[in-house]
Amino acid sequence: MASVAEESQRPPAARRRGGGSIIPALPAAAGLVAFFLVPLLVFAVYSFLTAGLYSVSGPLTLDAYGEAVASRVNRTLAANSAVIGLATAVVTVAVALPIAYWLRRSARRLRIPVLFLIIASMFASYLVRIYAWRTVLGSNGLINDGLRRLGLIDEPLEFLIYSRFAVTVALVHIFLPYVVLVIYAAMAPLGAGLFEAAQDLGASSRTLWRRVILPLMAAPAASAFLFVFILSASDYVTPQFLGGASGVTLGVQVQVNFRTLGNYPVAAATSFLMMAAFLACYLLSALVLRALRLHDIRFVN
Amino acid sequence: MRYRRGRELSRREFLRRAGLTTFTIGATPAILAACGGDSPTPPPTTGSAGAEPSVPPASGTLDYFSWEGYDAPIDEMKTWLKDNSVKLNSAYIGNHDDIQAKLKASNNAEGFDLITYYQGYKPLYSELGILGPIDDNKIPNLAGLNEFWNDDPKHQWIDADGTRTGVPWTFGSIGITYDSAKVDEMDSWYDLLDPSLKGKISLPDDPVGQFTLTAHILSLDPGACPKASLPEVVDLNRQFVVQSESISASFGDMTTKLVAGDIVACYQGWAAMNSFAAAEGSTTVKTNLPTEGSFTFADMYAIPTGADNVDTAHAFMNQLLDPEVNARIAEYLVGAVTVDAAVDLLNEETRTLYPYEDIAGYLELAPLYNNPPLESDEFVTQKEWTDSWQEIKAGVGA
Amino acid sequence: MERTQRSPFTATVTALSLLFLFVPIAVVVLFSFHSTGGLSFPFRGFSLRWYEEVFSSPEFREASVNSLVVATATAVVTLLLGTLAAYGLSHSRSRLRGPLALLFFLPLTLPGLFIGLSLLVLFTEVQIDASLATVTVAHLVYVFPYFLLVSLAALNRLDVALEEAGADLGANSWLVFRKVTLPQVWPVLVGAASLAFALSFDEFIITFFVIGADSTLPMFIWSTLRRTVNPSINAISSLLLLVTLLLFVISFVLTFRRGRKRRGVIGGEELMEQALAGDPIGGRT
Repeated sequence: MASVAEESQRPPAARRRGGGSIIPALPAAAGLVAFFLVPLLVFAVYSFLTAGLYSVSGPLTLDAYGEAVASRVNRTLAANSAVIGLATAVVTVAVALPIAYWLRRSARRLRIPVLFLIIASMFASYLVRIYAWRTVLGSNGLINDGLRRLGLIDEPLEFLIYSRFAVTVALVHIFLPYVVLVIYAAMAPLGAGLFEAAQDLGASSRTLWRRVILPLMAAPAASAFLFVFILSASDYVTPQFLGGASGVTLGVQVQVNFRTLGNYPVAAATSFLMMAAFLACYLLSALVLRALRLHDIRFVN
Repeated sequence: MRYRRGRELSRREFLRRAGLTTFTIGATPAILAACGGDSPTPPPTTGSAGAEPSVPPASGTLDYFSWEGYDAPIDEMKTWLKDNSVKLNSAYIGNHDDIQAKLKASNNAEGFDLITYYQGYKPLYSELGILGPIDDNKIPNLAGLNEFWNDDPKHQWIDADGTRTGVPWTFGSIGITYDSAKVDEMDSWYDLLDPSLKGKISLPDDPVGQFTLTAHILSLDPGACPKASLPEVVDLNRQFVVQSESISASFGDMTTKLVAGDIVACYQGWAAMNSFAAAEGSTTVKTNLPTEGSFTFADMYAIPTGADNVDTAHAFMNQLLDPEVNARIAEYLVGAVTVDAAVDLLNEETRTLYPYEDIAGYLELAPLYNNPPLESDEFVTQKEWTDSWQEIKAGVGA
Repeated sequence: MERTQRSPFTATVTALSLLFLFVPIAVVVLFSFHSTGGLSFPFRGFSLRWYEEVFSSPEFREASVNSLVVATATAVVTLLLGTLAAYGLSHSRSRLRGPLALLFFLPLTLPGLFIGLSLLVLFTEVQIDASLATVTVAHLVYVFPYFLLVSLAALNRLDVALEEAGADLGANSWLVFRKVTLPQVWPVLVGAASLAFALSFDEFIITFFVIGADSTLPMFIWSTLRRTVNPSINAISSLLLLVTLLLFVISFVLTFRRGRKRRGVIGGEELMEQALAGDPIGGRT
């Protein structure tokens, strides 16, 4: 008992958990090494080989990377991907934070039903949702039809569909429940005392958010942000159905090279270049968090 | 499907048709050899010459790998499978390229016995070595094919040395699919570019199809298009893309848009879409072949190398050429029959889709093309077109 | 008991978000009952024909069973391995933490096609036959980062003091995990595992490459897309929504019952709230 009391006097940093072993994580790691890392390394080698028809052969060469980088199409598509990824990530995280807060502090009896509803929406299949968005955003769809009946518009709103807007909306719909889950998972264990103490000390809503909640949420929110950014920037199916010319993303090039052209080296090279770009984003966010000293805040009850 | 003849029957055409009248429909297998002697394609060399063709017994599991629907989920085939104790395992593709991508990566370790291929893929598939030989002697119903299919100058289902690699069992053609309640029939593909239709047409995200169609309109052969002509093709295709409301993910997708009223016509439509639209609630969707013509796709059944149940595959293919079955599957897929005796067994709706009284003439207007080659110094390659297509889609250079 | 905070802004955002989330879902369910094959307005009447078609087609049934088997296996294995991995990562200061986290999240940065094809090449090389097992393995690689992100978010936030208290009282780490850690995070873990199920059920790109001569439901659907799009996809999705709804209700009811039995005094619902709030069941120490 005494040791617990003593320990709780110590500053948070010194009380970070660390006594545990990393062993529980090893089975999963072994699986991933065997079934992900090994194939990945094989394809890493492929990316430096010469392309055959749905096959590779020596000699080693940088041609694949050169081709992937030099391609004009790739650069346009990469830009599209970045824009769509950013827009989706920003909207999703910005909306998830208030929702998680409401669940944590205001929901009471509604917490379980609402959480359940949010999680349940993740179970509608991807393809079906895309078609549902057509029905909602289309020129004769729910929104346009509704606005027309209300007399607010004469012609259907064109930008709603076959545009970056439609792609972003659909992707936000797919990732929002997930991000809410992540951020709520990080917010829920926070003791009520944290919020109440700040408010009892006279903090306004803004201050509460700025000084307490956002710093505490910075790391998980950044993870969620990156997550959504990477996945929406790589998604090439939603743009196929809902995007216009500006909605085509880079992921489609990987597919084209692997499947249609049988060019494994270029497909692999494009994939690795994308991966490198994403890792750079991850490093950047880690550095920023570290600089702001937000990277490893633990809350102590 | 209505069409207009662009030219008179050629003399050779006339003579061939005259020769056909000496054969009755349903000729016995014994006449097969004589039939083969009429055409430039040498008789098949697989199997012992002179042996009476007979179907091998079907048994075991048949592993199928291709489009959903091409594994013939109709009652007639289900009965046949049951009667022969054959289990059909189907792995479905979402894209034609899935076939060679997977077969090459695994060397058919899965043991697929039956695939299909669009005739344009033949040169690639031969080069990749994924097509196994088909023994004509094991498919007696080949005798019932319309005589057009016995002659294969481009060697898309029968090689130059007589080895058969594909069995034609259905086909379909491209045309302008449009909503007749909203727009009149168009005689020319160029009519789709009319300013009144801006933002009201669509086209499928099918690079091969788009290239084949656009090249054809420009009187170029997509399988052998000189590199210098590529900009011309790109330019024309771009005009249609710019005119479109959006690019559709598939024919089914385009149909949905027609029914929803988002578009009124398609650049690269398909007669089957008439039926799909009717099923979705719109009975006014029609398809016609403009004067410039278009192209035809004939998906061939094939046996990949490394198949382990070759006999049953042959038996399956033979059954699909049975006139009754051939007619039913054509109705199911809303496509065409290749078997002569099947024509009269079709229901009215399917019968009127294609002009069976002159299939050869029709297939001259909408030919069976090859895809652009994967590698070539002289002609536009698959990669050059695919890059151009991605650029057109992304609005680069517009 | 903690104060409830009134917050009209966040309540509004939540309400609007729920609307946003469910309008398309409502459309999905509505059109699953459409009397024609159209997926657009005007709505022409109700019919059960798409459900009939789904149930009567043997190809549908077979593909659905395949999908269910793979998704269940994926969810269960992910729950086990993922919880262990998240626990290990959050409770250790080993220098392996960084590299392991990178390994676990790396699959996200590569396209599904890449993962599928590279696994196929591996399996072919090592001569492992393609089957639903190879599909499950591939799905595990794919869904693992999703599960891990959520479970890490929860496990990283746990109050150290509670666990240390348990340890000080003589409990070994397994007991601490079972009695202190798990009660706080299990709802999140279950949520994440059900997400793994949903992701696996819906996946088709990777699946296509590592499967044998079978199809899963998404493969079937995407193949039919070439020719026709009709509300049968809505019917399938609605059925899946219904099933998960039932599963959730059942699991929550069971939890209430269990809580009621153990505690007696505190109501089951309050128990649930405490659990979701991260408080260990039984009140604070």
